[in-house]
Amino acid sequence: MASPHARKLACQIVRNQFGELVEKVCHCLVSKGQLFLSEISRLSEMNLSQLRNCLLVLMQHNCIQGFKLANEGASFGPTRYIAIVDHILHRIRFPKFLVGVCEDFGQEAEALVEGLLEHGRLTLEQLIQRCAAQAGKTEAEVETTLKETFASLVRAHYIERCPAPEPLLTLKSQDEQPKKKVSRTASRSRAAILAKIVAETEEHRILSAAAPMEAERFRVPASLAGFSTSSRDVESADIIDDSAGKKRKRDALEMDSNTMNAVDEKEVLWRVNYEECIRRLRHKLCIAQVRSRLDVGAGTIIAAMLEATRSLETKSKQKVSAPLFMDGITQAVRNTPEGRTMTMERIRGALQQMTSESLGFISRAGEGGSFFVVNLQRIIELAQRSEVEGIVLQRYGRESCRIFRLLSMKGHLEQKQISDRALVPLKETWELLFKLLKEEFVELQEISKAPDHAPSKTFYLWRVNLQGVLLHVLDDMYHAAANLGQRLAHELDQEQEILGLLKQLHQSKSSGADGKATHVTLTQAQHEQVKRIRRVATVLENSILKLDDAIMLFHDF
Amino acid sequence: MEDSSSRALIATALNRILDICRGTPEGVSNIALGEQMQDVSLTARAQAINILLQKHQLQVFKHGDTLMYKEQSREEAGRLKGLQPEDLLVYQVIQAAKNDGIWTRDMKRETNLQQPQIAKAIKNLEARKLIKAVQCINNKTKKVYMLAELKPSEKITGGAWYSGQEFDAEFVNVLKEQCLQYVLKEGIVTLEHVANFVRKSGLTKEELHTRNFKQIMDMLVLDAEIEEIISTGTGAFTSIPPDTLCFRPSSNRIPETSAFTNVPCGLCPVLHQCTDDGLISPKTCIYFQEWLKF
Repeated sequence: MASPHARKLACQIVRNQFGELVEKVCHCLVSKGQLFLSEISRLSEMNLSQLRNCLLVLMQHNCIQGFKLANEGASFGPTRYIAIVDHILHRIRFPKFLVGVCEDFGQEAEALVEGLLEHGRLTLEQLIQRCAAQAGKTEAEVETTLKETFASLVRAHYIERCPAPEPLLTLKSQDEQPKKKVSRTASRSRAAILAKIVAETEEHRILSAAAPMEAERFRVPASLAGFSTSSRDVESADIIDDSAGKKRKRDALEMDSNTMNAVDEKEVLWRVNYEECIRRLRHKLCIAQVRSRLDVGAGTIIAAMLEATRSLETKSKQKVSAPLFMDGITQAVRNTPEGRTMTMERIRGALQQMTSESLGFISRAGEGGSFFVVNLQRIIELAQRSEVEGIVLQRYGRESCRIFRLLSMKGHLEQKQISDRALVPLKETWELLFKLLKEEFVELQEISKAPDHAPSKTFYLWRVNLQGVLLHVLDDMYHAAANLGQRLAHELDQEQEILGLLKQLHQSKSSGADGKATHVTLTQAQHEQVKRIRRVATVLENSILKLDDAIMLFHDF
Repeated sequence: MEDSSSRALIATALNRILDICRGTPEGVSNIALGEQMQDVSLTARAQAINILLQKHQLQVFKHGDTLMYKEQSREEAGRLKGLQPEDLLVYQVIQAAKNDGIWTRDMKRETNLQQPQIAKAIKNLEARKLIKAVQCINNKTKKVYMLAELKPSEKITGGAWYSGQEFDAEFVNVLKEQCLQYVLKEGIVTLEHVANFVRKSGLTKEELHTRNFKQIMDMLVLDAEIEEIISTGTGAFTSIPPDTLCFRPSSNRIPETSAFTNVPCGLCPVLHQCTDDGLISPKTCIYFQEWLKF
C-alpha cells in the first residue's frame, strides 16, 4: 500500500477533479484496501445508486480496479474493489505526458491522447468524434489521418486496450492474511515496510490479472491494420507479432472482418498506457543525467540506445535496457540528428568511458561482452542520491551534508572518525549527527563491550540507510505536495468573492457584444487582489509540478 | 688510612660505573652492572652509585622489574641540582610521557606518591621551568604535563586545525577555498601540487604535512566539489606519473536547489506535526504566508 501521505494526496486529487462524493468513496478504498460494494456503502454512508455512480466515475478514469476471488477456476463472493493510488497520482502528470506525446508524434497525437486522458476510457469512434468536434471539422475529413495516428500510438504502446473489469484472482495461501493486518496498524516500523511491500505485490497481482495479454493489449484494430507509417513502427509491431497465438488471432479476425471492425471501433475501450508515458519521462531523465555528468555526445549515445530498444522494454522499472550490438549502436546514433556527424572513434571512446567501473552507465552483456546495455537503474540511483544530498544540504548545511555523504560512502563509522574525516570539531559533529538522527537521515547502532551498556564502554556506530531515507523523504514530499494543494484550495476559497466578480465580469464582457451590458467593474484594490491570487496560484501550481518531478524520481522510476 | 683506601676504591668504582653507562646509552641493569664489576665490593659499588645519584650524574629508573642505570648529561645534571627525590621521580615520569603529556592521576599511579607530594613536586618543577602544563583538546578541564622544551603532540593540541583551544574553522575554510580555486584553475592536480601551491602562497606559517593536505582534499571530495581520479600517464595526465592519485573538478556537484526544499514544507521543522485541521496546518502556516507575500 502506498505511503500515508501518498494516499492523502490521492484523495485530494480525486476531490479536486471529481468532487466530494467521489472522494468519499476513494477515501474508503484508499485507506482500507480491498472492499466489497456493501462495505464501501457502509463506510461511506451513501446510498447504493450514488455509490454506483461514484464507482463508475473512478472506474472510467482508471482509478480503481474490480476483481473477484476464484478458487479452482470458479469464482465466489461479490466483486471486490481496490484503489490504484499510482494511477490517481499520475493525474497531476498529465501535462507532462502530453508534452512527451507531442514531441514524439505531433499535435494530432497530442489531441488524441488528451481526449483519452480527459475522459479516461473511450472507443475509437467516440475519440474520433471528439477530435473532429474540437477541430471544427466533419468526421469524414479527419478520420483517415486520425486513425493513422491512432494506430501508430497503439504500436508505440502509448494507447492500450482497457483491462478486464472484473478479473478472477486465484486465492493465495492463507498466510497472507495476518501480514495484511500489520499494514493497517503499524506505521513506520520495519514490519510496516515489509507489509507495504506485500500489499504492493498484491495490488500488482490484481492489475496484471486484469491486463490483457501483451499481444492483445496493443493489438491495432483490424480496420487500421493496413496503416503502416514509419519503419520503426513496423519493426516494433513485428516484435509483438512473434507469438504464434497472435497470428492465429489475426487469422480468426480476417474471417469475419466486417463485424469485427465494427466491434473494434464501437465497443472496444481504449485508454492511455501510463506505463509508457512514465517510461518516456524516465528515459528523458536518464539522458539528461548522463548529459550533465559527462557531455552532450554521451547523452546522444544513451538517447539513441534507449530509443532503439524502447519497444522491447516491458517492465515499468526496467533495470537495464535491451542488449545492442556495437553495429546497432552506431547505426542508432547515426540516425539521430545530433549523432550524424559522430565518428566511429568518438562513439567507441564514449562507450568505453561509460562502461568504466566508476561510472557504470553502460555495461557489457552476453557472451564475451559483445552486447551493450544501458544501466537505467544505476543512473536513476545516482540521480536519487544526488537529489537526497541536495535536500540534506539545503536543510542542514554544508557540514551535515558532508557527514551524510561520508557515512553513505563508508558505512559504519564512530563519531571520532567522522569528526576527523569531515573536519568538523567533535562537539559539533555530535550536534549535527543527532539532528540528522532525529529526522531519520542517519541511523545509530550501539555496540557495548560491557553488559551494563555504560557509555564509556560502548561503541556508537553511525550509518546511512539510503533506501530508508528515500522512502521517508518520498513520504515527506507527498506530504508537501498535499499541503501545497490544500493551501491552493484555501487561497482560492478565501478569494471566492473576487473570483466570482471576475467571472461575472467575463460573462458581461462576452454578453456585452450582444448589447445587454451589465455593469460590473473592479476597484483598484480588487485589481490588486486578482493579481495577487493569480500569482499565488501560479506559484503553487508550478511548485506542485516541480515537486512531482522529484516524486516520480523517487517512486516511479 | 682505611678511609683513604676505601675512598680510592669508591672513586675507581665511580669511574667504572660511568664508563659502563657511557658504553650503553639506553641504560644498564643492576645485574649487568654487578656482573661487569665483580672485582669491586658490593658496598663500594653501592656507595659509588649513591654519590652519583646525589650529584645527579646518574639516573635510576625501572624497566619492567629490573632496576636500570643511565648516565645523566651534564646540563641535565645541572638543572636537576638540589631537587628532592620525589621531585626527581615525578620528573622522570613526566619525561617518559614525552610530548603526549601525563595527567596527575596517572602520575600518582606510576609513582605511588600521595597527591599532595605530587602537587608539591609539580610546583617545584614548574617554578624551575622544567615542565609545563598543557590543555588537552579532548577535555577542556584536563591538564597534562610535559617537559618544558617539548612541542605538544597532535593528540593534545588537535593538530594543525586547532589554534589554542578552538577549532580554527576560519583557517580551514580559507585553505579549503584556496585549494578548490587552485583545482578549478589547474584542472588536474596531484596532492604534491596542492602542497607546493599552499606553501608558496604564504597562506599560513603553520607547517602543514602532506597528511593535512590530504585531509583538505578528502573534505572537498566529500563536498562533491572535486573528485578523485587515478592518473593513466597519458592524455591529460602526461605530466603526471601513472597510478598517481589526482584530483579534478567534480562533474557531479551537489544540487544547490531542489524542488522539495524550494517550498516551505521542504525546510519546515514541524512538517511531521502538520495536519489538515490541526494547530499546525497548511491553511494557517506562517511559512506559507511569508512565501506567498507578494
